[in-house]
Amino acid sequence: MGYEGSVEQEFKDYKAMFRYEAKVFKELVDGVSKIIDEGLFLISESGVRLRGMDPARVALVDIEIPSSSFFDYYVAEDVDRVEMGVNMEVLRGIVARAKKGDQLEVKVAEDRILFVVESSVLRRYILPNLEVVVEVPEDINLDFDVEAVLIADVVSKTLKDVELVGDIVEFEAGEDYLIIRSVGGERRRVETRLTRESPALLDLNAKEPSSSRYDVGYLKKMLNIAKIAESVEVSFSSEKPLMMVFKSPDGGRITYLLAPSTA
Amino acid sequence: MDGVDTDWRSGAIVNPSIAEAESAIKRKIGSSIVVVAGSCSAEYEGRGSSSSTEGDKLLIVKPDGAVIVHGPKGFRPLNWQPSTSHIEISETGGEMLLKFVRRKPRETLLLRCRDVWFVAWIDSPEEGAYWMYLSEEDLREAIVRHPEELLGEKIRFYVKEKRTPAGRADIYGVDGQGRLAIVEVKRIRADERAVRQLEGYVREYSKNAAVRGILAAPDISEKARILLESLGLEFRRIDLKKAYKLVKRSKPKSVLDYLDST
Repeated sequence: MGYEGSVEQEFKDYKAMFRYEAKVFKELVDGVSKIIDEGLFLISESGVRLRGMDPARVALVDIEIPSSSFFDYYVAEDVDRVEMGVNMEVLRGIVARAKKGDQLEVKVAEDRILFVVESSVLRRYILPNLEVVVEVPEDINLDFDVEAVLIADVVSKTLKDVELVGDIVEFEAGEDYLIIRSVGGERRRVETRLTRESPALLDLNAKEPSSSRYDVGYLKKMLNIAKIAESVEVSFSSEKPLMMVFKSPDGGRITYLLAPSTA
Repeated sequence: MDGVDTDWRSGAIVNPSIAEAESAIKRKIGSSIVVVAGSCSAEYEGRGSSSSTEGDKLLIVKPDGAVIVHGPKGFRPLNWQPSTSHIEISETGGEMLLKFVRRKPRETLLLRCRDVWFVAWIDSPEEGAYWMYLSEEDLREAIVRHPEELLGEKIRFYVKEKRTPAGRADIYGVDGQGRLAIVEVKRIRADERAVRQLEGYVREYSKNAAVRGILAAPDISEKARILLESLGLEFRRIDLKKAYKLVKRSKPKSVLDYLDST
């Protein structure tokens, strides 16, 4: 009996377990950790859900991964769901070196979590299971006047350009166009105009002409996740939050909600 | 025991017996802000462990389960818990035992009180307007965004906290005449050190360009003003209330505000 046995043995009483592609998990965590400090993973029969808000409560993150996307998945029968509270920065460190093909195994007990990264070497980490309070309503019920589907990379590049000029980005849409532009800045301006003919605008549905402003820094952080998905659904209404939804090929779904800028 | 009733929403008992203190705390905890002063020892176990021997302690328990224990010195509490899921109050051997347990992470705070000086409470406390404290960062932000209102002239800023060989200067911009302006921001009364700091940044630059050095603060000491003028630097008095209003206006609303309305 060596070290290996002792760590595993401590984790006989886990309530949930999942195995996932470590690289994909790393990208999720990388993207989200820029927005939320502590994350609450809810593990239930249907899948894993991560919800959280940034400390200023301007942005909300909601990630859903169906249990069918995992290599291996287990939730104890006597519980509805298992909570896993972690510091995102610490978690980021754990999966930082994950390479393609590596596997991640997570076992969640009442007060501790075991992470096993299976690479050329086996690395094990034990973290305390933190009590993370998330004051986010279970369902996000918001109606949007504009719903568009865009190539994520185009949005990402536009935001990079906007950031050079100012802090605020404006989204404007009419029946057949969508404009993303910088706000303020007297001399330099950036504007990306997309019409129904543009290859980057996959779909557009504008119930009424709308325009709304958002903090470009937050949006850029959100688009970090774009590596996982090629397209992004962007929804907004005038002076209302903006919602971005990314869907990954394995059925996962990442939703961001961002309050409009009042500056 | 002396009872002191200040008004219908609050009250206190002074010099209670241990049993009286115990029953008052039991009755009030959970719905009131409860303040207890006494001679107690404290033990904490959780992410670390600590203990403090018997001494004068001030305990505050809020309705949401937040617990704060103060000793006689310093502004920092000896121990605090942001929330507790379980509170136990009991009396054994002439001592009052208060046990606060936080489930995750598992943390336990145990107080033993031999004497209780007073127990005071505020029933169903109302939340007042929270006076937002303006940090230096907020103030810088306000000046960058609203130079005309706060500095009295139009300066276009580009860099916040620029690194210079002399350290980190607060903000850089260009004034109406195209001159470079370096602004050092202080949230409190500026002293000679602030002037020296600003002079350092300006000196780094003025070798090859016309540079203005501006010290922006709510007030300046007399000595600092004399030094500032002798160095050819400028002072701008900042109206903190105005800055606060400007910052508050630009603070983003929480995304939750929008969810609640639907």
